[in-house]
Amino acid sequence: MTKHLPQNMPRLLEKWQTDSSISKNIAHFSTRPAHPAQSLPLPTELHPVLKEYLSRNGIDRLYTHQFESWQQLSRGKNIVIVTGTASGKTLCYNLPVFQAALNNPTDTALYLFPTKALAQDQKKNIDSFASFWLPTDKLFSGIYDGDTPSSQRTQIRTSARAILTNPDMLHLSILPHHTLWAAFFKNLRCIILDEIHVYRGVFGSHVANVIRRLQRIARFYGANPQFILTSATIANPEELANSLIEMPVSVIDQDGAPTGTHHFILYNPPIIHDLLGIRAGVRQEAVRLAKRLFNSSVQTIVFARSRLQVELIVRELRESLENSEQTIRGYRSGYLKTERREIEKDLREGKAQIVISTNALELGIDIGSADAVIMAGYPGSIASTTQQSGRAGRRSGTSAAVLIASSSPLDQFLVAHPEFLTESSPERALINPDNLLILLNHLKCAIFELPFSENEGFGRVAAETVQEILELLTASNFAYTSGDKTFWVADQYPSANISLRSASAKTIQLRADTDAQRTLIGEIDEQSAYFLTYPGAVYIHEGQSYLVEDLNPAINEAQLSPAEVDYFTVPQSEVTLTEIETRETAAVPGGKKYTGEILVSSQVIGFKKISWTTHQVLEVNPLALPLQQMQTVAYWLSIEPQAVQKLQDDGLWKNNPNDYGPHWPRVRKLVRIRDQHTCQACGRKEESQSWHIHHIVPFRNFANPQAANQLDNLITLCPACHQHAETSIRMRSGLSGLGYILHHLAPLYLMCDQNDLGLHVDPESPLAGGNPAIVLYDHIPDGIGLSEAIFDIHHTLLESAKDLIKNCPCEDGCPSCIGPAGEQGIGGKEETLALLRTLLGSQP
Amino acid sequence: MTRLSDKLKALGVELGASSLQAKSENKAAITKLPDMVEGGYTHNDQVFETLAVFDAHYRHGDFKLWLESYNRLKGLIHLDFNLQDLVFIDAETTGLSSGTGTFAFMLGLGWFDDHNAFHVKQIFLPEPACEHEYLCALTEELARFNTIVSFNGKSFDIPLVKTRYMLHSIPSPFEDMAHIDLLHLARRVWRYRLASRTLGELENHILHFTRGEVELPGWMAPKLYLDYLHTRDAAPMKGMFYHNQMDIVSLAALLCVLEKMAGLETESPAELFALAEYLENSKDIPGAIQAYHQTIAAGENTNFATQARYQLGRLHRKAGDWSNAISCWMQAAAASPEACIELAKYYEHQTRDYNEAERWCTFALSLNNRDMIVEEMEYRLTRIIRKRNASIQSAKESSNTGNQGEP
Repeated sequence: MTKHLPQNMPRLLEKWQTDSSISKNIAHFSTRPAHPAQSLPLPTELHPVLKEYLSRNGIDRLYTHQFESWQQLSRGKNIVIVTGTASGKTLCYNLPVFQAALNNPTDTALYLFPTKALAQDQKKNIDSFASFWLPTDKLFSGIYDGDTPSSQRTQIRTSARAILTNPDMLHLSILPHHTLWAAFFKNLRCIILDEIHVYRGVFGSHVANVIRRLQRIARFYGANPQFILTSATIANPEELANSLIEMPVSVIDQDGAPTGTHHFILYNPPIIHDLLGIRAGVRQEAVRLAKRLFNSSVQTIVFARSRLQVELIVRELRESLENSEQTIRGYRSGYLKTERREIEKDLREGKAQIVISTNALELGIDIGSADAVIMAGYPGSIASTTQQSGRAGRRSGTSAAVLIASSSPLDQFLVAHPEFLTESSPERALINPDNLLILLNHLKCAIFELPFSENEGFGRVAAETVQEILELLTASNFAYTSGDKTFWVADQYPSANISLRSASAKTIQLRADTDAQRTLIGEIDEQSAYFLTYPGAVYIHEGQSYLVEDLNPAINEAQLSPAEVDYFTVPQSEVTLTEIETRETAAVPGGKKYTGEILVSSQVIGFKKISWTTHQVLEVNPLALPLQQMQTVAYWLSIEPQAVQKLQDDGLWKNNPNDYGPHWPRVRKLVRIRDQHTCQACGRKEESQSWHIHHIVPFRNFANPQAANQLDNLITLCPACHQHAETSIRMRSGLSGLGYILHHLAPLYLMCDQNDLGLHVDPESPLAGGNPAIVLYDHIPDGIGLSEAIFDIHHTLLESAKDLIKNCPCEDGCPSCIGPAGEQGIGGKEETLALLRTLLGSQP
Repeated sequence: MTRLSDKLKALGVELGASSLQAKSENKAAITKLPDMVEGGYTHNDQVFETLAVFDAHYRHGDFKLWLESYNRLKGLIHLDFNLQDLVFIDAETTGLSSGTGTFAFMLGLGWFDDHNAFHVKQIFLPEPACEHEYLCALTEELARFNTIVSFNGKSFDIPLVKTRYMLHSIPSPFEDMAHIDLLHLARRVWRYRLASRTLGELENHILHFTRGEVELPGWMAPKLYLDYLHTRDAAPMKGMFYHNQMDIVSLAALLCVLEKMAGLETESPAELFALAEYLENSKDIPGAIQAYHQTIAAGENTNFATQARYQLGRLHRKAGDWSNAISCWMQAAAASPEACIELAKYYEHQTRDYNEAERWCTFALSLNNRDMIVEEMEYRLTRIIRKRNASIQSAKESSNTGNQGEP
C-alpha cells in the first residue's frame, strides 16, 4: 500500500522553484492562503431527526453558504449556489428536501443532473439519509433515466418522493407522460438543477425550453416549486440562472468551507523552434512533473485532453516507474462501470497514487481530494480549469494545481493573463432559448403535453408569438384549434425526433465500427456535419478520436472509424455572406462594428491536417461537398478606406528593405526589359525613373532569393500600382491575422467552442459596402447569442488580441498568435498589430 | 406571420399551407354526420352517438355472437362474469404513441341485452373542444357494466382514455372494473396455428368473416379524423364507423370462440397443443393432460403429437408415475431427442440399467436431429459407459472377495 505524504508538497514546490529545468518554465505561481471554516449554528427550525442525522455524520454547524442557502429558501427565494468543488454544495440542496420530507410526507423533489453518473453518485447521499430515517423497504428516492429497468418504473413513479433524472429523460419520457406522474407533480415542492454551467450554447437553449415545459406542467397540477441551482464559477451565474428558469434568483457565492493552502501554477513549456514558435510537447512535460510528484508520494490527478493522451501518459509513467501497475491508473468514460467505481474508491482511500483521466473526473463525483492536479493542456474553459484544479486540496495542508499550456493562442493568452484563471473569470455562459428552430420544436412537445389556450404564452415568449407558431403548426397538420384551445393531432411523438444537443432541421447520424459492429455513437446537425465530419476529418467524440470515412447526407449518415492520430483537421471552405438585416451598428475608431442577420452560403472545398504537438500544417487535401446555406446571426467589423490610407501614409506599414540577393540589380533589369518598361497594371511607360519590380508571391515566402526571384514571379509596376499591390497584400494579411486571433480568443469570453463560431475575412465585403471586413457568425441557424455578445465585448476582445500579439515572442507571426506563418504569404504580425492599433484608436 | 414562416423556411424548416386547407367549395357537397351514419347529437350537441343492434340470430362469419354458457372460459382465465355485465370496448385514436398528446376520437361499446341481442354504440368526438362532455357520456354508458372486454386495451386503449380523464380532472370510470384482454389469450391459443394474431387475422382465419367494401383500415384513422375536422365532410368517416363497429362485433364472436377453445372443442393439433401449454402454465395439470391427449388424438403423426407425448411424460414423472412416463417417452423417442434423453436419464439414475441407458443415447445420436446438442449427448454417453465399467468392476471385486471365504 502506498503511503501518501502530503506534507512533502511544500518542499517539492520549493524544489521546483529552484530547479532551473522547471522554474524557467513557470509563467505564474500564485497562492491562495489557507482559511478556516466560516460557519454558523444549525438553524433552530431543523427537524430533530435531521439534526440527529447531521450529528451522526459529524455535522453540528453549517458553513455560511449552506446557512445562507437555507435562509433564502425559507424566504421563498430561488437560489443559485456558486461555490467550489468539495464545498458541501450537496447539503445546500439536500437539507431543504430532507426537511420537507420529514415535515410533509407527501412533498416531492425533482433532481436534474447533466449525467447519469452524477445521479448515481448523488443517490448515495440521499439514500444515506433515507435509510437513517425510514424502514428499509420503504422507497424514498429513485433514479428514473434510460438505464432504469421497465419493471421498476411504475413503482418509482408512484412511490418515490425524490426523483433523480436528467434533462433528456425529462424531455423524452417524463413530460410527455405527465399524467402517469400526477401525484408527483401535484406535490412538487423543489426542483434541483446541478452544474448549470453545462447548460450553455445549443444544449442550454434546449434545456431552458424543457424547463419551460416542466413549469407549465407543474402549474397545471397546481404546484409552485422552488428552484435550487448550482454552478461552477462563471462570469454570469445569475444571468444564466435567470435565463434557464425565467425567474429571479439569489446568488450565493461566498464559500465558507475550510481550505488548505492552494497553489496555482501556470507552466509554459520552452520554445524549441524559434522561428515557428513551436513549444515542447505538453504530454512530455506532464509526464516529467508527474514522476516527480510520484517520487515524493504526493497523490496526483492528471487531466488529459483525450483518451489517447490518457493512455499514452499512463503507459509512459508505468514504464518509467517501478511497481506502479496498481498505483498508476487511467480513467475515462469508456471504462466499465465497475472499473470506474473501483478507481474512484481507490482514489478516495489513497490506494491510487496517480490517476490520469479525461474530463470525466471533473464533474461532481465524490473521489475525495488529491494533493496535486496536473492539467495537460488548457481544458477548454476557465470553469473546467477551476473545477479540475479544485480536485486538488484537502481541508488543510498544501495542494497545487499545474496548468501546462500548449502552443494554441488561447493557452498562450492565458499564460500572459493568469488573472483570468485565478481572479475573475470573463466567461459568460450564453443561451438563446428563443432561437426559432429550438423554440418551434419545444412548442410541438408542449402542445403534445397540454393543449394551448388562446392567450397563453410560453415562458417569456409572448402569447402573440406563440399563436403565430401554432398557426403555422396547424397549417402543417401538427395541430388543430378547437374552441379556444389548440390541440396536437399529428400521428407522431414529437420529442422522439428532437435531440437536445442539435439545432437544425436535419441531423446526421454518426456511425462507427466498435467491436466489429457499426454502432450509433452520436448525432450532429447537418450544418455542423460539413464542417466537422467531412471525409478525412478527425472527429473527437467523448474523448475518443475517429477518422471520418464517409459523409452521406442523402441517408443522413456519416461513417467513422476509431483512429489514434497525432494531428487534427481544419476545414477550408469557400464562403459568401449576404446581409439580411443589420440589427445594430456603432462606429469604432477606423471603422464600424455591426451585428445582424446574414445568409451564409458555404462549401467545404478541402481541409488541412495540423500537428497536435507543433500546430504545423502537415497536409492539405481537396474535397467536393455540396453548397450549404444557413441563415444566422453575425458580428462584423469593417475598416474605413481612410484608415487604410492613413496606415499607408503614416508609413506604419513599412516596406522593409529586404535583401533580395546579390543578383537583384541584374534581375530587375531583365524584368523591366521583358515588360518593355511598362507598368503591367495601369499600362504607363517609364518616364524619368525606373519602375518598381514586384514579387507576386512575396519574397518572404521563399527559402532563398533564387527561388523568389524567378522571372515568372516578378512583374514591373509603377510606384503607385506597386504601393497598391503591397497594401492589398498587407491588408489581406492584417485582416486574416486579426480574424484568426479574434476567432481564437472569443471562445474565452463566450464559453463556447471554436467550432461554434464561423470566421470569414473579406478585403471587399458586401456586408460593409465593399470595405474590408472580418465576420464572426454563430454556426447555429438563427444564432445562439454568441455574435451578439462579441458586439458587446468588442473593445475588450480587441485589447486582448493586441496584448497577445505584442507579447508573443515569435518574429513575424506564429500559430500562437496570428496564425501559422506563410498563410497569406507573409507573417503578418506587424500588419495585424498596426490594424489593431488603428481600430483601438491608440497611438502606435 | 409571413415573416416567421419565411424565416423558418430559411432555417430549413418546411411548414406551411397543407393540401387540406382547400375547404369544400360547394357546401351542399358536404355530408353531415347524421345523414351518413344513423345517430344523433347528444350532450348539448357536443357528442355524436350511433346505435346499432345485431339480433340474437346474427352470424359473424361462422359464429354466433353469444353462447349459453362461458363456464369453461371462466375457468381458464379464473374470472367469473355475467354476459350482460360485459362491455366490449375499442377506441379509434389520433395516433399510436402513448403520452398525453394522443386522444380517442371514437369509442365503440358493445353489450348484450336480456334477449341476447348485441348492441353497439359508438360515441364520436365532433370537436376536440367537446372532450369533457364526451368523457361524461362514456362514464354514463359504463356505469351499468363491471367488466371490460378488449383487444390490447390493457396496454393501449384504456390507459389512453384514463389519461384523457386525468387531463380533464374527471375521475376515471375504469377503477372498479375487471378487464379481459383477449389479445393475451389469442396470442397464446393461436401461437402455433397463425403467424400473426392481429384482430384482422383472427377475423379472417378463425371467424371466417369478411368485411364489407366500405371498410377502411385502422391506420387511416388519424388522417381521416383530421380531414373531417378540416372539411366537416362526414362521407369518408363512414368507413371508420364501420371499421370500429366490426371490431366490436368481432370481439364478441371471439369470446365465443375462446369459450369453445377453453373446452378443447377443436380438431387442430396446433390449437390443442397451445391450450395444453397454457393450462400447464396455469397449473391446471389434469386439464393439461387431457389437452395433450387430445392433441395426440387429433394429429397422430404431427410434431405436435410428439411434443405432446414428451410433455405428458414429464407430467407423469412429476406425479411420480414412472411407468406412464416411460411409455409416453418411448412412443415419442423416434422423433424426439428430448424423450430419448429422459429415457437415458431414467435408466442411468433410476434403474442403473446402463445398457439400456447407453442404448437410448446411441439411438438419440443416430437420429441426427438438429435440435439436439451433440456434445451434451456424447458426454452423457461417456459417463454412462464409465459408470457401467465401474459397476462391472466392483461386481467382479465383490464376487472375488465373496469367493475368498470359500474353502
